[in-house]
Amino acid sequence: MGRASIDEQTLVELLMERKEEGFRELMRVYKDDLVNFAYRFVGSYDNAVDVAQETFIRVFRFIETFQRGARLKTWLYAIARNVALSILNEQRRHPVSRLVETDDDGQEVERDIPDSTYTPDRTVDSTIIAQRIQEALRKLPAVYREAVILRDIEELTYEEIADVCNVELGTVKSRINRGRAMLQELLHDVYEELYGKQSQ
Amino acid sequence: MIDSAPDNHEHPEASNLLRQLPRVTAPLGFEETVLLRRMMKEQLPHASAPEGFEEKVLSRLRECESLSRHLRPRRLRLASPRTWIAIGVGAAIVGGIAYYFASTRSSSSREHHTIPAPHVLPLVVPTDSAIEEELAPPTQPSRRSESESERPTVDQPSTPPGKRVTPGVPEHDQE
Repeated sequence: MGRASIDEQTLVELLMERKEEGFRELMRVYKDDLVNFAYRFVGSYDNAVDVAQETFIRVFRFIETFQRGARLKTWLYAIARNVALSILNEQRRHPVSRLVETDDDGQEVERDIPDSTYTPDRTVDSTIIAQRIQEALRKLPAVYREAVILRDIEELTYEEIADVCNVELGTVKSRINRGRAMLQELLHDVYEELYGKQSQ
Repeated sequence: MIDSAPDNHEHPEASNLLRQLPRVTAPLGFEETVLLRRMMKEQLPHASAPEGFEEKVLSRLRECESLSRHLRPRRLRLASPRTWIAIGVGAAIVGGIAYYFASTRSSSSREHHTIPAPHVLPLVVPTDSAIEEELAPPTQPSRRSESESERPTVDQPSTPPGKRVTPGVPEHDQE
């Protein structure tokens, strides 16, 4: 996250008054985090930039609906998540096949069999390992992927993730655990390469 | 600065209690999770927004705003009082015409479709008494109510005694 020059309360006031200064500050602080989150979630840098742009435009348009007690950061991530999900849904119209699984909470989770032609953006993920990790992330169902990205990459707290994804805290924990377990399976050989056989 | 927190020796009871707490151990797969998180942190670069990101967003926003401003006058024009008066007058005229046609049509249809009352034949249930009445000679005194019978009678010249009278035959013929 970029370093904020003003506190969140003042920033919210500026946004409510629709001051351009406030919007610029908001973008300066959060743009990179949102692009990174969106890139790891949707897997395409161009789409990620679109997601971030659309997120800020929605903030400008619907700032009146922001509840003053809420956290601006979780609100931004929630909007970005919704925009990213709508892009993923759009991509699903030309898929690949889909599997339905049941997660730990008994909820049905749709799992796409990913497009085998997918390759991570090499300008972002320049190393082979980074590309392998990004590919593995893409193979996770969206609900596990978002939970792992928000926790382990964006470093949000469990409570913040529950707010962003609009689910219970227990669901967040189980999704993170399940997502990590899947990633470990998928990245088994990368572990060996990086940390040796002793790590297994 | 020296921490002024009390030493454990000053509160042996608290220390003993704390020692009785069970030790919590790391869950299964703890190391793998740590390695995974370390790998994601170390190996995945942080994607950042491209140059000119803010300007692009602001120009997109301005486009949206100018579009909405362009649409707003049309909406306002529609909502002007003159428009509403015109719409009201138009609706009243159309309504009046419709009412006129509807009322004339309904009155004419009333004339055409009047169903003539059917000729009701009297239902005569023949009884013995009726047959008797029919067959009875016309001079037979009709039934009278008690009130009628109580009315004062007018004296009329009666038939002289001994004169034979045949009912229905003129008097001069009877002589």
